[in-house]
Amino acid sequence: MTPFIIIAIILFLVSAVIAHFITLAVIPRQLMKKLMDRLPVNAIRRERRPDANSRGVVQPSPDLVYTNVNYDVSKAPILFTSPVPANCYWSVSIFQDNTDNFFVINDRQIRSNPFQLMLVKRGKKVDAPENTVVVQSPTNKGILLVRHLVTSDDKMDEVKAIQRQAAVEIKQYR
Amino acid sequence: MPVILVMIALLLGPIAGYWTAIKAYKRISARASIGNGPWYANLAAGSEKVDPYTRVSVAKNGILALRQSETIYYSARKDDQGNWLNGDKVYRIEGKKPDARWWSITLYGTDHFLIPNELNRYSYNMNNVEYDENGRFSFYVSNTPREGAWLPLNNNKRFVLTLRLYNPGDSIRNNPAKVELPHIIAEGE
Repeated sequence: MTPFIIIAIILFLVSAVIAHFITLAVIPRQLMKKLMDRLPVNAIRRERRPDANSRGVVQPSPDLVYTNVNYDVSKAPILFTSPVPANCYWSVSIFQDNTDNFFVINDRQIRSNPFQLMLVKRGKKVDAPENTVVVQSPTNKGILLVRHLVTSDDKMDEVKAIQRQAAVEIKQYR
Repeated sequence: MPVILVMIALLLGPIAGYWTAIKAYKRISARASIGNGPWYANLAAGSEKVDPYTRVSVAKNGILALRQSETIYYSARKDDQGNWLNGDKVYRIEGKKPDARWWSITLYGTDHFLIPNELNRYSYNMNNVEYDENGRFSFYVSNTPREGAWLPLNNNKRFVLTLRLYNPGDSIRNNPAKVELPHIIAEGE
């Protein structure tokens, strides 16, 4: 075997391994970006209760109403505020730009109502209001997702009322 | 000649890398899953500790899934006998109330979206199933219309069932592969 063939085989293997892991890293980020691109940045998006016409996110739960925020905390932190329903599953989960769920809190774990959460870039300092949960995002961009369980159809007005009161404010780093 | 060899290697290498990644993620993420009767779940889904193959699988089939401390998601593509779920058959989903704060079983097409139907009925959950005197529930999944608790397949041949367990109890968290989960029983055509 000539040295050139050995070099070609090595180059083939090295580039294959690199491409293999780049592909695995890129696909989740691409799918997350696709999701984020259809949402306004640092603003509340109130979704309807999922049905067969809901084609934005795979495996939507028809028993939940979703509210989401496509966040970008690179230049400023955001303050998310929402009332918490009584005796009903309600959670806030945050996903970094590679789809990992790095934070979740539900109604039973929340200590103050309304719930306030300040989302900041990792390593940045903020002056958070009292009773505010401060969460550091490992990536500048991602999605904050609220899940509100619809225990029965006649609860939809209550669910929508809470959804309407959810808000996002852009704050400042110290 | 050497230059051509190098160019071919640098062209085919990335193609091979991409191709093996696409082929490998399904197999490797399936191997990382636990099975429980017809149900399977990847307990690392959503977590920052997830392997890159499972991360791709979750991004494609269940993006924005919660980590398992909050919710465990089981999926089923087969029945209790190990046969592929088939729209030509009638299935009875039967079981005792799972140990979770809240649970649901949702019917999806193979595209992972809800199946359109005239009843706008896509799932049963702990609040809208009926329990018998032994605390067990049941409902049907089929193309042929049925009275009572029924999820319509609307002419779909293949489908997926997803069991969501929000705030799962200790019996599930400690033994997710063995705890009794709802049964998927084929009852004929």
